[in-house]
Amino acid sequence: MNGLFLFLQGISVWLMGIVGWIFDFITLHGIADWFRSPGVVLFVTTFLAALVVFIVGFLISITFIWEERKILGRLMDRRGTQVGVLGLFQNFADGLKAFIKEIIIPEEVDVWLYNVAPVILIGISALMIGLIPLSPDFALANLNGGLLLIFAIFSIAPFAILIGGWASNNKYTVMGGMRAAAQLISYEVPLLLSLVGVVVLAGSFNLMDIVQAQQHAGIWFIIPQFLGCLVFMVAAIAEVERIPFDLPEAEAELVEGWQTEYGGMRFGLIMLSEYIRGYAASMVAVILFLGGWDGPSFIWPEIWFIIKVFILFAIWIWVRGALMRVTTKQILGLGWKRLMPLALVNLAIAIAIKMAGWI
Amino acid sequence: MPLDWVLIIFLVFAGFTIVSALMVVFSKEIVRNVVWLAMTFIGVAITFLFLNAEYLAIIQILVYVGAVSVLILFGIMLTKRRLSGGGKCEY
Repeated sequence: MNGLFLFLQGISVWLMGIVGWIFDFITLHGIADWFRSPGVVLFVTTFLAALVVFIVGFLISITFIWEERKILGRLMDRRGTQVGVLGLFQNFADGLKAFIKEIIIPEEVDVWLYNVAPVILIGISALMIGLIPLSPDFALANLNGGLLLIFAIFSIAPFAILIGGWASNNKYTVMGGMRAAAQLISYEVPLLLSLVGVVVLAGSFNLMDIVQAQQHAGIWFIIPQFLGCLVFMVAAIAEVERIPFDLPEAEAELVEGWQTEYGGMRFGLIMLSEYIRGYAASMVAVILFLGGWDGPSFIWPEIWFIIKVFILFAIWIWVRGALMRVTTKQILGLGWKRLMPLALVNLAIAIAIKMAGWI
Repeated sequence: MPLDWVLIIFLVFAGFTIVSALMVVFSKEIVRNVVWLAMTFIGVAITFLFLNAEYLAIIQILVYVGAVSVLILFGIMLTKRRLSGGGKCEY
């Protein structure tokens, strides 16, 4: 029971008290007692906690889109979004537009798979948000295999992308889906290898224990694990298909990649899930290498965490604005000939530090 | 006798696993077979969870759903296929 749960437990006791009072008023005492029983209160508490965590993640992802448009605009010498305060409302307007559009299902698509691919994508993205704690007090779960579970869920995405691209029944979507799957599978290897160094240093797969190890050692893991951080960043950008590695949706070659045939809210969900995946990847990077919620205590740890995540994402946007798209040959060469050896060297460094007993 | 919720949930997921394993065999479209195969893997992972083997469940999802079924799909998509409704448009 952490702070979030305790707070929401108070709210749900109060809510169930009101519901129970209503049922008492219409003399259904049995149902009123059932609503006030600890099991129902626990269920409502868990539901509310999941809702709060999802809404926070959703709002931060939407703000990520705003940040990206603003910074990218500045890099291109223009102003970016303009609607509302600082342009913050543009994304809500876009979301509303996507929401009220007609649902068009193209002819000859495999309807069932076509519809289920965005659902899988948004589902696994939301699941990742739920697994990553913002601080010890703002967390849904504290799993011992948390890091592994997050990357297990991360690895389901190429499957959804492939079946989405196939079900659209279009050459470009199939090609985009295959490029996406090839890229995602080959970059998962250096991504997972670069994590191992941190896991060796912290001695745990538990995200909270990893941050605690950094607080305990008094040093963020970016300093002993700089190579790992570098490999992780490059591989994570490739995993969420952002611009230097956006071969799967290369606009100049394939129309819009594997999502060409999707329109309306489905396209909106796919875009949102990409940003949620970016958010999850930068959250994991902050936890592993930048100390998570570690920071001076004059503001809340959650705020520290979110500030770090936004700064990290700004670096990604900078990379997006500065670099051009790599080719297929370069992407495979970079993945297997550069990132893999670097990740192994990083693992050797981590083991050496651990053996020497410095951390 | 109170309802044994764990048993009921286990039976639901076991039935889900068996049905999707049967669909792997009886479905006609080959890509759908792979989707059902992935569902079977997820069902097996949930069965591992009921046996208190969380690590094995996670690795099952990471390796089988994330890699093996994607590689099978990859292999299927590299073969020739006629776009449905598209006449002689092959690649």
